[in-house]
Amino acid sequence: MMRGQDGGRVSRCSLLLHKAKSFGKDVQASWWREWAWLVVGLCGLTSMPLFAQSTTVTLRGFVADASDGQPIQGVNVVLEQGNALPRGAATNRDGFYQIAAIPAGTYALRMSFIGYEAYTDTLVLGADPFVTLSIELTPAAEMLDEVVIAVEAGAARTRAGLQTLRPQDLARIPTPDATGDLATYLQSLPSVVAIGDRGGQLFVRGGTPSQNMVLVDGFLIYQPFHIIGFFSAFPQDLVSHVDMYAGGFGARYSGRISSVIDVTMREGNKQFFEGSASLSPFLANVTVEGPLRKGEVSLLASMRHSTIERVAPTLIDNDLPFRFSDLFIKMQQTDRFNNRCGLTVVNTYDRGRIAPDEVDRRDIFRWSNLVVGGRCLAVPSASPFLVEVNTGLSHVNNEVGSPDAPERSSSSLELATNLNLTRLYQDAELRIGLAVRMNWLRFELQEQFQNAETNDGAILSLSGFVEPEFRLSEAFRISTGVSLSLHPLRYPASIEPRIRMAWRPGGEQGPQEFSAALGLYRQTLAGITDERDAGSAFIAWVAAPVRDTQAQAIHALLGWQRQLAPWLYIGAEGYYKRLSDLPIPIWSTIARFTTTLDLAKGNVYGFDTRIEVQQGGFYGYVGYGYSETEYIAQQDNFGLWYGETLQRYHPPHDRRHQLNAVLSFDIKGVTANLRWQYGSGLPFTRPFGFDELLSLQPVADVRRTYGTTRVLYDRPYEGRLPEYHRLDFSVDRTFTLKQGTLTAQAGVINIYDRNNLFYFDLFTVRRVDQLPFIPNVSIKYATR
Amino acid sequence: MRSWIRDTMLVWGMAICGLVGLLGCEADIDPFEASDRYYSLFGFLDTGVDTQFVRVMPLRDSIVLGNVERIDARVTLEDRQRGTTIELKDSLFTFEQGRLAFNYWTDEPISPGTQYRLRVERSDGAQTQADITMPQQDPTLRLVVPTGFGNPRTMVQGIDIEGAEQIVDLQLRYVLRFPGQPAGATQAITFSYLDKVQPLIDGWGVGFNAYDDLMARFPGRCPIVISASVFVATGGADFPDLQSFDAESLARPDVLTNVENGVGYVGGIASILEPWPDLTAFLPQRQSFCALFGR
Repeated sequence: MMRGQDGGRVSRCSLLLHKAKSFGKDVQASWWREWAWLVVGLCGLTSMPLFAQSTTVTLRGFVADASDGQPIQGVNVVLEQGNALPRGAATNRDGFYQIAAIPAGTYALRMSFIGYEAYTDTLVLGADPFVTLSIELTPAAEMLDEVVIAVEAGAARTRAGLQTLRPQDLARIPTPDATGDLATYLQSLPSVVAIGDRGGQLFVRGGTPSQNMVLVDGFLIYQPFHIIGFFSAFPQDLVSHVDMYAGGFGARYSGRISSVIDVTMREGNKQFFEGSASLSPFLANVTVEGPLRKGEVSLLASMRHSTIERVAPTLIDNDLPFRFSDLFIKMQQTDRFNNRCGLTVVNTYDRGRIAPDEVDRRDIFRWSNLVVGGRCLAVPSASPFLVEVNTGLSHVNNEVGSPDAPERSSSSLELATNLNLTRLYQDAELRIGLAVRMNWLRFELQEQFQNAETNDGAILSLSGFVEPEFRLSEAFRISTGVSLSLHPLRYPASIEPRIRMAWRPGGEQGPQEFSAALGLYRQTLAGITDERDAGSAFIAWVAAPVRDTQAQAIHALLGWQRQLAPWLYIGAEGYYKRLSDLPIPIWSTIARFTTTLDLAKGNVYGFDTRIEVQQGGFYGYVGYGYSETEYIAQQDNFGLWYGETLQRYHPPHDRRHQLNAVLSFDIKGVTANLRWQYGSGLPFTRPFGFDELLSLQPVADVRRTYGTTRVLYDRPYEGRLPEYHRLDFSVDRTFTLKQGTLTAQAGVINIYDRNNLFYFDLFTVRRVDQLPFIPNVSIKYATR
Repeated sequence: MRSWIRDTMLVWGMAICGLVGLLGCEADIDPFEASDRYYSLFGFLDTGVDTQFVRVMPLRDSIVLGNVERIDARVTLEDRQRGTTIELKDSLFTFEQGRLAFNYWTDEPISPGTQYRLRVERSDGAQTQADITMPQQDPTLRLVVPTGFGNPRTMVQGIDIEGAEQIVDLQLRYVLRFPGQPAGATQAITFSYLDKVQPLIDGWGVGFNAYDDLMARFPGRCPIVISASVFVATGGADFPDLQSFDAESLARPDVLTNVENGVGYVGGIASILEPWPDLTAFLPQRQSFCALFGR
């Protein structure tokens, strides 16, 4: 029966190939041919291995927390049979596990995870080729003292650019609110540069914010970081799991060339209703969750709104004209066939003046995001695949200027559907996927970029990936993959091969690991920004704005991590990124807001080193990052201006040294967190004065003409702003009350009140500083 | 265990305090690059006018205009051939929106073919200077207007220029009035024909259709020409070819300058402003043509 089903699938693939050949006669439709070949290839890959399945069994299922229905990642699932070597797997972020190629027989099953009572059972396998077994683990009264397969999470544990973050990691960074936030945490990593504490712009290893792919439950969100740099759409209370790739990401992520921040939000409680409310000088938050159908359907809803705009004049005797809010809703269903479907809605809004005492009070930045997406995970009873289907839309709107008449605006709407299949073999895993995306873009830039002023249009893109991962031995894993992207009739097909590998001498329990990654990345949708203006948070989303050329990057990473003691990890990672065809603004002297876009090349290299200590209630982390980013631009005019047509310069986010130290300790229920940050100065262009330019042709009469004011620059970005450092502190304690818990937190931002420069406005000779000393107190009440 | 935590906290605390003390709490910045450029100089020495004006302004450290009612500058003009030096007088000019600028002037005659050095000295000894070479001779013009009646759109006017090494500027200047407006409501309009100038065997020449150009600028309005005049400025052989630069390049301080220890450009030109009564007479005749045919 299985062979028959499979044969039918091959026939459909042949039909597609035939259609492709017909279309191939038409040059305009050459993308159909490439697309069809991809489909045929995928069909072949998914079909052939099925023939070998009849004599073995695949055990799979989901593991969740019995108290609230949340999936548990990292559960150790082991099958034992006599003296034979045990077979095992760990659950992924969806709580899914799969053990393939099990010979028929009787097995002892054990599922265990720290903090839960272990589940044991005896299974007789062999009657069915696919056995689905989903389990709920009961939280233990006391922590279990057993060896588990640890989730590879922690600040010092990186694998070829990948760092896995957990909610408890976010809590360790002092934040002026009762809960931590992903935005604050990311800024404590040596690979992430924030040029200031406002604007919501994060640069990862030389990449720009628009080159980061941020995903929420699998759906793209364009600008999720709030205008105050402590906050994002991802507060600790809502986050379940984050995979942060500072580079070298696999083939399943396509469309960005710098980094991936893949956030999985947690699900609502499936057993009972609960809620929380918190208030701090910066924001207020209300969260409710509970079962819509007990044990099956849950709802989680959270709404946050900033308060700092009203509080700041009283708190620090100064204006902080920032307003932001976000709304998060997640509905999750698990049916009796173990299919899991979820609906995620995220809406954010930000508004503010980057320079609080801006002379021109109309210079207001605003952006908003809307993400609506549905995601289903299914384990078909007669299929070896875990099937994931995502459909959603993502919209961003970005404006600067007065509220009623914005000077510049940009919006992008993406509608995307993708199908991902995952199949596990005895020593291998195959991931394949297909996606269709439609982007509608609109931008009105006035005079900012002379060759990209006003436009709207749509881009259709079709993409697919194949990503097999092999475990060649106990010590060595390698994941190869290729991503294919097609943009019919507009851009050439993009084939992006990628490879990731990890070698752990001594096997999976070995104390150290070496990892490496190499890959090619392309990006069609560019976020262009006026990098000459550090105070600008405006990003215009446009499709390959210069000569229809897609930006490209090659990543190469080499990393090492070692557990020196049960409580001590160290790690180091070096990287190189070769960039090409980046759309950048060319420096202009005539006017502040007018420039031309051109293409540049770039080189980024550097290394991170990290030390992490965790012992009992004590946690310490020190991370140092060295990075050098260089852009190389060529223009005929450069020869006239600087004597050479090729210009090399360090863009304004080129932070050479970054040091972060985090200290957290928990004594008798009181948790204290301390974070110190240091960053070396960022590049800026030094002027040597201002004057009025008078026309030579026509001949200007100096008695009648005042002239055009100009800034007299030397070569761009040759100066460096002062270094930056800041110390933040928070202390909190949770009190258990009759109906719930009350958490009180007190903290201070910028303890020693350093005047950290955000940017210097050359045109008004004014410095705009980052946040001063701000004491804060927050409370949070949660029902239980 | 507890002592271990205490010791660690102590080390961290000391390290942080040390770093704070070491790095200080201020982040001072001087955004301006140290430079040996002191003044911005613009303008022309012109053999064709009685009084020379040159813009002299100190480089500012802000785009904000500020108060520049005083200037620390002594401006002199040295005749490099004769070795004589004169001092220019300062004059504060007020422009739109109350903006102020210093123009230095002299009514000493400027000689063709002479090299001058304009020098600006600050009281502390800092100097900015520009060397200017004057054209060898003043130009002469021959203005050609066709006579007779006919379709004015087919009748071409011409200007021939002799005695010029380079043409720096060529303008046709009108004083206009529009039908229906009071007699005193006139408007000054300038047309540049520099891009149409062609080299001739004995000089330079340009041909154009003044009527067509006027109608194109003011379609359907049939302006009445009160007066017309020609302005021509010529430069010496070393005068830069300005048309080879784009606006962006011309704005770069280092691309086109003859100023040392400063920025700007001071050129040497010979200009002539000559009324063109024949054209003034020719165009009003065609005003009726415009009124009749709409253009």
